[in-house]
Amino acid sequence: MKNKNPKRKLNSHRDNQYCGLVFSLPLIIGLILIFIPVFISGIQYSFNELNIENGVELNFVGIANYKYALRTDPNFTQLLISDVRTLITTLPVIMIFSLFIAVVLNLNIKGRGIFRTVFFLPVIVCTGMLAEIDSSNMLMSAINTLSRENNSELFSALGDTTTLLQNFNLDPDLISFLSSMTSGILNIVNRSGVQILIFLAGIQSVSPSIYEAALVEGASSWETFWKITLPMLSPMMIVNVIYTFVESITRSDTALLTYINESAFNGGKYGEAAAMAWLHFLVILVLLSLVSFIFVKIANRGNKGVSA
Amino acid sequence: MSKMNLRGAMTQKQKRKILNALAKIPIYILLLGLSYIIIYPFIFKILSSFMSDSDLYNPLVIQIPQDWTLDNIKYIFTETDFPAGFVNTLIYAVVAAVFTSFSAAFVGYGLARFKFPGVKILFGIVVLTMLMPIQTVSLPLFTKFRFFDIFGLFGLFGSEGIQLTNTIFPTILLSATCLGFRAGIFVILMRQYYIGIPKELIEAAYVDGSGPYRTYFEVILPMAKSMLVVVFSLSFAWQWTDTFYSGLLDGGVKFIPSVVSLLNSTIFGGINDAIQYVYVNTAALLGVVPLLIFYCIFQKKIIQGIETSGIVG
Repeated sequence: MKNKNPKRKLNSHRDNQYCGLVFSLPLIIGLILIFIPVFISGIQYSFNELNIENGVELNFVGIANYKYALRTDPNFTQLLISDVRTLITTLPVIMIFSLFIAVVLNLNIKGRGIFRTVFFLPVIVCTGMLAEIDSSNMLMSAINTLSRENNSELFSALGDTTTLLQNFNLDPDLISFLSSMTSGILNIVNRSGVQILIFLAGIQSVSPSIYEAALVEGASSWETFWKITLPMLSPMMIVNVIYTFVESITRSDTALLTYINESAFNGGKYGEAAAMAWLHFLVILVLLSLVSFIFVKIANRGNKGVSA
Repeated sequence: MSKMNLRGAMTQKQKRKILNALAKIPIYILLLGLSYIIIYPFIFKILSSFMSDSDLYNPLVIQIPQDWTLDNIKYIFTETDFPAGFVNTLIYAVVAAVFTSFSAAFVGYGLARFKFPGVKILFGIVVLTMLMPIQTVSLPLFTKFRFFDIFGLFGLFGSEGIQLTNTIFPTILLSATCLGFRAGIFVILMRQYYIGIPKELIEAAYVDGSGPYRTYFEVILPMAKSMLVVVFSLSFAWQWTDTFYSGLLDGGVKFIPSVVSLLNSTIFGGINDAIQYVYVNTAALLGVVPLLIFYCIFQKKIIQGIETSGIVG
């Protein structure tokens, strides 16, 4: 028995290395065949002027494209800053919201499964096409509001929050504030489906005996949330932060990405667009590492609090 | 005395019960309100797709149509490219989902269980593909498939590469190599799941004399079914509504999203466009109905799969 085991282990270790490569073969082929060439030519494009009439003709221009993006282009830096700002502001809101909903759904509530299903629904359905249509629906309703003064009966059937509020004769400023808030809530709710699930699973994985001990010690539920639930959730917090981050930068409807795409495929500024895209990616990477660094720090401190 | 105390305790307990029930009312209101916000666009689309022309201009009709009609749905099916788009979308989504789930299942296992040289770099690249907005490389991706070539091999024969755009091959190639839409997330999901499988199980299979491949196909893959369902459904749904890849690589092929956005682009906000607006909503609704049905059938498995994934714990 003892003679056999080391040999067995040695064997499995030896084919381990080779088998792992076989299993990862699809990815490796993809990297060699598609990803690395595409990545390299992407970088290459950003240093060249491009002509894609027949085949790709490159014309080396150095860092002129980057200079153009940062100095000459009227919109790029502004859009970049505003994109980053929306990301920074929506990230905590999504985190707090999804944590809150997860805690609420974890309470002993009837119809919990149904609510969970509904909250996850946008993840399945509301990406891509519907998001596009609905955002222009909002545009539509804005146009409706403007044209309503002239022909009040037009589109009466296509009621929305704004119409409803207008029927109450509220102050127009208040109405616009409320309707922008509702669409903001819709945006947040639509984007927190996965996060809610991850938090919920995290809460449920905390062993009930810890809560019982806290109850015996006389801790209020407010205290248990801050001292037990939240620190225990810190790994999920990091996962969720990264997920939210990735999800919000890779959605194609951000103003910046739309602008970059348009200046490439409609404006013919391929090289400049490539430079902008790489600058955007660089900013994302820096930001993400910063955010995850901060969260890991916070999470570590939270864990120390538990052990202390 | 003790009886009194007991009674006091009882009433207190009851009091607490009532208080708890009362405290839940705002929670229900909140949850119902949020659910309403989520479902409202669908209700709105369903109701408006049955509205007739006269309903649109009838000030008495606010949400519920007075004179129900199937004309809008008929219009979508007969006057637009919706049926063709529907078939294409279905084919592409199924193909992408099948290839993505299997490639993610393999690669995830390779990255989770083996320690070959470069495994960390490979995993880093997976994370990188996940973080990188695909728009960063949209142009090289397009030219790659427009003039597809393997190491200049086709170039030797004097052609400038094969044109693969507007065919299904980019979808197959990208999803079979874990580079499709958000494929990085799927690889990581699968990897986390495999890491959660106890090592003893694999060791036991080894001891019983099955090699690593047989172990994988006969023990591990059947176990990972719940996770495969998650990956399959998410990639199916995301490919179904995807506008970026299909627009970039298969711009000439008709998909539901492209049909809908074509309809949408004909609206200018004029008075006569009300019915067009209804058409767009109807087409979008019809486009997501299969997804909704799909979700209703699989929702329990999807949600449970994510909750039990290795991400948590």
